Amino acid sequence: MPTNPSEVLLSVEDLVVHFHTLDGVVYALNGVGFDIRKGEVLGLVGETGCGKTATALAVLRLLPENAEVISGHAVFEGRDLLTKSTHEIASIRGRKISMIFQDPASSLNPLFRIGTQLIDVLKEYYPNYHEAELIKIAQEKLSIAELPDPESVMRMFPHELSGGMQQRVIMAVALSSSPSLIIADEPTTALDVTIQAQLLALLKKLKEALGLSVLLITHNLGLVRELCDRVAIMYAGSIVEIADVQRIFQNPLHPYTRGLLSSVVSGRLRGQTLQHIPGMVPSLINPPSGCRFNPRCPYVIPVCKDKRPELTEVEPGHLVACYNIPKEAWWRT
Amino acid sequence: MTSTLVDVKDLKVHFPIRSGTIPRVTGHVKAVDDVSLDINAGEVFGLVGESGSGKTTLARTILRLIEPTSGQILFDGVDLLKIGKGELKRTRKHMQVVFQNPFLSLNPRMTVRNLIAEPFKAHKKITEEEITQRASRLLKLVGLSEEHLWKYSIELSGGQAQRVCIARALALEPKFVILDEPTSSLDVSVQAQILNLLKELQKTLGLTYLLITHDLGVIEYIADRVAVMYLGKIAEVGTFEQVFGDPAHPYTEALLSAVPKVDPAPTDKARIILRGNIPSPANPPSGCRFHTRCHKYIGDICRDVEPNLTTLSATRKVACHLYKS
Repeated sequence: MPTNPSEVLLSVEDLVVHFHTLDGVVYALNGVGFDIRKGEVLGLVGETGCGKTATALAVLRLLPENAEVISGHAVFEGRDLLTKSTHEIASIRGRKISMIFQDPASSLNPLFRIGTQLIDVLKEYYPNYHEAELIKIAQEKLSIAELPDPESVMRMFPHELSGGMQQRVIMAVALSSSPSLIIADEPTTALDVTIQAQLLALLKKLKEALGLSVLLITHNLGLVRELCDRVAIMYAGSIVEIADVQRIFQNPLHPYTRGLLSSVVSGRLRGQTLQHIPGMVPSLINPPSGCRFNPRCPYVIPVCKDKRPELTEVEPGHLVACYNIPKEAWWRT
Repeated sequence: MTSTLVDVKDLKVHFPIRSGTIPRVTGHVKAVDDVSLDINAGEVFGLVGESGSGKTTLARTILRLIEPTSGQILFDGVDLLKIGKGELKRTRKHMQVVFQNPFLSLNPRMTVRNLIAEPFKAHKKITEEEITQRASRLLKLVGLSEEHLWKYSIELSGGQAQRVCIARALALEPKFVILDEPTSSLDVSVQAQILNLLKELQKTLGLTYLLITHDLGVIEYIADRVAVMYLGKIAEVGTFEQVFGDPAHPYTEALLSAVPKVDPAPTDKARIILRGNIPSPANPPSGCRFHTRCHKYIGDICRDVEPNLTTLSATRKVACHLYKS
């Protein structure tokens, strides 16, 4: 890869994860690899069940017990997170890498006031501070997340806050340890659009101000176009394409990326029949051999069924895992 | 000529709030407050709004699944609130609904064939054999095949399950179908398939849709006319060109600009970020309900006086003080 290695904050390589279920082994992640550079927002995009969240959980070592990491590395600041002891990982998780989940209500304990929960977290990061100092820091963090009147928010219970405000509290918690990487898993999906717009503006501002790197997991391509610097497209447990956000939208090369982008509904397509990808997402218990997209791919050639294509650089910074990249130009900009 | 199929007049749906140890009515959630709209035969009428704006309550009230507090609902000239049980049942044949989550709308203990048979059993006296035949014809109509007849809903994907819901809604050949977030729980590529299907069915069967969604892309793609709701009231009604091309109400303007777009146009205006949160419909702001967040607030009149829906042109109405007289 042409990136200067010192710029890379997190490098995930060849991650293979299986889940053992009653129905059989789910081959969930099939050699996932990508880099996140310092200060960038990388979008991880794909449909339900493609392994976006599993990737994030694997990096943070939060996978459920029935999961097995078969192989792979997740190198963060020069150290492999996947071989660390539970104790060591605890000193990174939450401190250097924070995670924001989709549903803010389920990330907060309904029985405790916001202040109590926030100070609980802060005690971890500021062990020698007094309660009064922690309260002050907590209020500061809340006002960084642009919550109006932090003092009264501290006294509230989660149910007294709206979804947007709850998500701001979560952001305050995530930022409280001054992490260098934030993993945001569908951070605005549960919110209304006008509230989503507020949070997007905040996220952008914080990212700039604090020099954060963000791994944004989402299926909302509009959000990706707006917020991300680079995008990794995932399908059925593999990354099929990585490129700058402009390039992904202007010149997508993988047949799946093209299919995904052309099925996005928008007013500009009024009167036209929407394009869609034929067939269905395969079961990962019994995934297709070779390239997992081959049964649905209009560009399939014999080798696709035999061997999994590797991500290869086709132009600087643009990686595609495909044996038969479509030659014709992309029609929708 | 267009004729009105559904005509809603001054509809109010207020839910009482009971509280205290001896429950007493302490207030009302005004879920739908003085809403009037008319849906023409053969059109796709889009209803947009954020959560809690009263879209779904309005739709359910039109089906009389919720009893309104006051108002009038005319369906094909019949006042749904004045007719008796028997006639309501006969009228309801012509109005059907498809909900957001197909798995919640399909009984997991029934086969697809029996699910589609339900409306026939309720309304028609036909033999079991004929039901099976019709069910398999309906499945073909929605792009499934006969093999799906004997499956249970858990064996179906989200897109297939939604197709079964559509097939069931079409069983009695309705005139009017309410689509309540029909694609919101589906992945993008499946969403495109379902929208194509809905559009095609509408054309071939001459259906009228009331499409409720918060996804503005879907509305812009498929709707002929659009109403925007905010906190139980209609903020704006117009053709899709009018509402999307030149939004009149400040809320519509902000809503449209808030959506992150996959294909941004150079003509797109800068994003308007609204202040604050959506107020509770139990305690809506005085005057114009949007005034607490409005970026075009013009003074005390917004705070004190509730704006009425003003007619801007033959097809367009807006409830905002910016458009007085």
